Amino acid sequence: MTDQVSALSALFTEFYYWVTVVMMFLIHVGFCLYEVGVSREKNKLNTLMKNSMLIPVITFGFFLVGWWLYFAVQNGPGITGGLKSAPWSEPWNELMAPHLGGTPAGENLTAGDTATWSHLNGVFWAAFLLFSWTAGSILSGAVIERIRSGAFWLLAILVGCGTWVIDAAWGWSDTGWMVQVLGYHDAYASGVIHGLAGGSALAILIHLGPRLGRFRKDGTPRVFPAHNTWLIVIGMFLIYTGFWGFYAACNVPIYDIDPAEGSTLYSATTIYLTPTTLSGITFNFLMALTGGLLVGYMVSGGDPFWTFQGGLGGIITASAGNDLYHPLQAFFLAGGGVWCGYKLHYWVERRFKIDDAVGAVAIHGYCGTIGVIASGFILWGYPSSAYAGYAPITPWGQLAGAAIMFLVLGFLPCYIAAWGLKRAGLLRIPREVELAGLDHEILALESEQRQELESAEAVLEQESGE
Amino acid sequence: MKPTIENWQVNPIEIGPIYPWVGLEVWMVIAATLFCVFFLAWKLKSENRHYDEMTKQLRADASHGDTRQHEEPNHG
Repeated sequence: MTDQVSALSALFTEFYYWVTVVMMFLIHVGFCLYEVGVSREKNKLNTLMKNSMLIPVITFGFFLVGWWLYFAVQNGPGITGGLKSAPWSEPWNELMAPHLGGTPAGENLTAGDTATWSHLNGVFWAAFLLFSWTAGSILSGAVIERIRSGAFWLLAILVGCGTWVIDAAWGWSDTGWMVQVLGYHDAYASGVIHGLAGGSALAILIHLGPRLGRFRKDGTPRVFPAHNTWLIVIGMFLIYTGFWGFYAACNVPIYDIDPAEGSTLYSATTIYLTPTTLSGITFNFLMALTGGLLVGYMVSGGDPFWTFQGGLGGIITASAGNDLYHPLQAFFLAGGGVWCGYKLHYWVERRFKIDDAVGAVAIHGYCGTIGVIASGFILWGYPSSAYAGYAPITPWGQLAGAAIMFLVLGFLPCYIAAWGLKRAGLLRIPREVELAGLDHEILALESEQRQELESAEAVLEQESGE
Repeated sequence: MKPTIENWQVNPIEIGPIYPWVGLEVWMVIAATLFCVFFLAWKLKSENRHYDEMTKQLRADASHGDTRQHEEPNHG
C-alpha cells in the first residue's frame, strides 16, 4: 500500500469489519441474557455457562478448521471444480497471525496474498466466526434445561465449524457452486445461518425429547414461565442491535463494480459482489423488523415473548433478498413469515411433541426457509451474482437451496450426530438431575452459605446488644 | 531463539510476520488440536462422573425422605 487510495481502501475495509465484529458480539450477549431469562431459576447458571462456553469451543475449531473449509469447498468439491487453494486460511499459515504484508516467509504465498490478507484475514475470520457463534447459539436456546453441555458443545462445533461453513462456501460466497449452478441468492443469510441452524435444532430436539413435565397426559403442552422477563427483553434488543452489525458484515464496503476495463466505480456490495448500499439495506432491515413486530404482536395476542421473537423472525424472513427488495416488500414478507413461523411452531409442538424452549426452530428455521423460498418468486430472473454466466435467481433454485440448507446440511448431520450421542448416553442429563435442577448443588451450597452468614450476623447483633 | 523483529529501522514494505517463533506454526497447531481434543474428552468424562454422583446423592436423599415419611406416623 504505497498510494493513499489503496491504503485508505484497505485500512477502511479492515476497520469496517472490525467494527461489525464488535457490534455482532452483542448478538451473543443477547442470546445469553435471553436464554437465561427463559430458563427456570433452578437451571439458570448452567444455561449461562453452556452458551457462554461455546465461544471458546467454536473459536478454537474455527481457527483450526472452519476458516480453511470456507475457501476450500466452494466448488463442492466435485461439482464445479476441486478443492480450492487458500493458503492464507490454513491454521499454520503466517497470515493467520499478525503480519505487516511484506515479504512472505513461506513459499506458498505471493506478495499479493500478503498485501491483501495481512489486513483482512483476521477481521474476515472474526466476522465469519461471529456468525458461527450465532449458529451455535440458535441451537443452544432450543435445547436448554436437559442437554449435557459436553454433547451440546460437540454439536455446536459440528454446526459452527462444519455444516454452516460448508453451506456458506456453497451458497454464500461469490463463486460457490450453488450460486453458479442454482442461482442461489441469500444476501443476509436467511437460509445460510438461520435455516440451517433451525434444521439442526429440530434434529437435535427429536432425539433429546421434551423437558420433563412439558406435556400433559392428554398431550397438551404446559407453559414453563420464564424466570426473568427483563433479561429476555434486554437480550432481544441486544440481538436486534447486533443484527445491524451482522447486516453490515455481510457487505463488502468498497469494491469496484464497473465491469468496463479502465473505468472505476466504487460501491458497497453483497457477498456475491452485487452492488448494494448501506442506506438501502437500512430501509429494509427496519421495515422487516416493523412487519415482524406487528404481526408477532397480532398473532400472539400481544404476548411479549412472541412479539420480540416476531421482530427477529421478520428480519430473518426478509434477509435473503433484503439487498434488492422495496422496504414495503420486506415489510409484508416479514409479517407473512412470522405468521407462518408462529403457526408452524405450535402445530409441530402439538403434533410431534417437540419442545423448542425458545421457538428457535420457528423463528430461525421456518422463517429463514420461508424467506429463501419466497425470494425465489419475488426476485425471479434477477442475476444471483456479479459474474456473467451464473444461473439467475429462480423459485426452483431457491427451493433447492432452502432444502440443502434446512434438510441436507442442517437437519441430517445433526440428526445422525445427536443419535450417536444418545446411543452413547451422552446427550441428555439424568432424570433425577433434571427434576432437581442443573444448578441444584450450587443453589444448595449458596443456601448453606446464606444460612451460615445469617447465623453469624445474628450472633454479632446479639453481642453488640449486650 | 532469535527474535523475528530485531530492529524497526528497515524498509517497512519488507516486513512480513512479526510474531515470535516463525516456522514453528505447525507444531503450535498440533499442540492446540491436542488441547482442544483433551478439553472435550475431559468435559465429557467429568460431566458423566458429576451426573453419576449427583444422581446417586439425589436418590439417596429421596430414599431418606421416603423412609422418614414412612416412619413418621409410627413415631406419632
